Amino acid sequence: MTGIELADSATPTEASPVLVSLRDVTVRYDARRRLFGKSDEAIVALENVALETRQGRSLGLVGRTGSGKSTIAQLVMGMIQPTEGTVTVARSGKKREDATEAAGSRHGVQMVPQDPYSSLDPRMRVRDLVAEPITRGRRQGRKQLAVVRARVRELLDLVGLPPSAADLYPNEFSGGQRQRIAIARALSSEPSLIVLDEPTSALDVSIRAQILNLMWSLHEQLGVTYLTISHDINTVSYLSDEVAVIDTGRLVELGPNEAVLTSPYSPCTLQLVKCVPGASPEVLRLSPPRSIAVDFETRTGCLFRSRCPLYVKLGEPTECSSVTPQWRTVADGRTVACHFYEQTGALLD
Amino acid sequence: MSIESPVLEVEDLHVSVARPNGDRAMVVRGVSFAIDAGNRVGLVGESGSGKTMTSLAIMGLLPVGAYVESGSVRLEGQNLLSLNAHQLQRLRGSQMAMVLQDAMTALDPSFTIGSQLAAPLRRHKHLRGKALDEAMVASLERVHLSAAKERLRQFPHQLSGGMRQRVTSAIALAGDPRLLIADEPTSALDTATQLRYLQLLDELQASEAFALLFVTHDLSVVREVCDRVMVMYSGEVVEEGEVGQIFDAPKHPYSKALLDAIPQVGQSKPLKAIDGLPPEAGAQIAGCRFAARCRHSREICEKQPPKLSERSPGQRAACWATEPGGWLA
Repeated sequence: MTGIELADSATPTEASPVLVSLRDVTVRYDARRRLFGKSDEAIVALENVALETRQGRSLGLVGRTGSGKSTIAQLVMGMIQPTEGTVTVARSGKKREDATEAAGSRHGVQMVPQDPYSSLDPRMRVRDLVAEPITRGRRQGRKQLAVVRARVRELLDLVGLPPSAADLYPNEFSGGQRQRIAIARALSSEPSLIVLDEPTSALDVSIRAQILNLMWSLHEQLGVTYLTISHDINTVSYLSDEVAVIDTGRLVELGPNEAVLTSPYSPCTLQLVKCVPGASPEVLRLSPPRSIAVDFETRTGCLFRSRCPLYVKLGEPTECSSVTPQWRTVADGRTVACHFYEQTGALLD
Repeated sequence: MSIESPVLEVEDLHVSVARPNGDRAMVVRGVSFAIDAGNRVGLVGESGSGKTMTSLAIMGLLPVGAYVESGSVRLEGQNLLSLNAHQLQRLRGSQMAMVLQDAMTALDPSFTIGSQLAAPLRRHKHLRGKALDEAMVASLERVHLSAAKERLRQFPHQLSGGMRQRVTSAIALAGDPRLLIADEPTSALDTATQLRYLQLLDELQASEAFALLFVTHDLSVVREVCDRVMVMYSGEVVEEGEVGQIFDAPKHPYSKALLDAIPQVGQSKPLKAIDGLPPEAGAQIAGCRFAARCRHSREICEKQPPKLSERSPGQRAACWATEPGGWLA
């Protein structure tokens, strides 16, 4: 591993407006609800997560299945409310507290769902699908209708579909084309932030590259900011300026895209990066599955330690099992939550 | 090993699918390959390339409306296409087995792991009673499932995705098959779990020496598990070779384009994407089926279909441009 390389514009431009901010957000779900009375158990999906996305600085979220990535997407989209903490989402330039805003009227943020086969209503024409966020399902007068149609044509053109596509139904399109429709639909209300939840995982390799290029060019042309969520590090890296790594509901690392993914401070990030098939074989990948008990109810200590190669290498230090790692800012504007982050690099020696 | 005849020999396999209008669309066109015992072959292609139809044809599990038009499939010398359903049923599980993409749907949610694992052991190994119990525990231990005894009493939903895939592998391998077909076994798993499963497959394959046909859309996974790779496009094998050859020196523009289309951390933008879409299944195309999307295509590509021919020892490609004397050679 080489030294830390910073992305070109590593320092976020403080002047650019905050689009989304999560402040000490905790989300708990009741598990095993009793027939009468309250539930006796809770599952923590997110714990004290603080994140911020600024205009023009796309953020990527990576983590394993069940780490809480999609919970963040749901919070940002207003589909769920935080149990504790606040989620603030910019709306057409103005900021508004989450609670005061109805989930459906979130114009500043749109989402491109994962599966273009299930996310588009098969009974709606492409024209209506794309226009729905603008018209919000209301009947349009003749004058407005012309405006909306022109806008739909413009949007279809933007995502590389012919104007004739407007009259067709989703089943007449391939997966890649459907994802283009979903992108056009997301763009139609001119959101400042688009949430991409596994945007390409349902697509074939050759089509995936087309869609990634489209998303990147939209970012360049229109200045759309993305919040990309995926377990595929390469996809996230392609679309993001900054990357946040999340594990069992806690943020473990945050910083500029390439710096975090090429020389991670957290062993958790390192493991994610090195688990990608085709990455050169590393000793680390072969670390056998161990059975270190972690108490997910009290959530004490570092919750990654049961899978942490560094924890084993350092001889299972008590700090990891008893003290929850604090969020600390290390050099070059990167933050990490790990007691022994300085020694992560040594895992590769 | 190579002196013996290969475990699986597929020759000039053609599979067609009936269309609503009565036509038959050819979805696999002349696929030929062989796998020796202990060898691991990857079959890579995008959706609609015919990779799954090829593997289902081998297993004799083609869906209603799909037919083997011509060709032969031989397992340890025996022609599978001449067998009836009952004979095939006997071979499945004992001679050849399959691991599917989604372990949740592959396992029956209403039966315990134990009862699903017992079935192949009873049927193929004729085990009963205590010997059966021991064999079940041993099977689960072979795929590194902890607390094997308790697992037998659990239901599929009580296991994680990675564990379920281990269980389906244990079931598939229960009859000690000579051939294992793994069709996208890791697509439903996240990267860390995927890696652990691939390591397990690697280990099992090394110890049991079955022939492995690994079907996937993901080139990088193939690199992890296989010795040889076949790249399929629109029903045809367009390139085959050793893993190293395909990854380091692909000789078909499609293989090259697929490799270029995978983003890396620090990727320069834009990515080199493959424009356009694959031809519709069964479309009649005079020349090379990739020509319409190929950057390097010339007149001959659209007129005459190229044939698989050798590029270097062990590596064959079907491309006019990289043939000896071609414009990319």
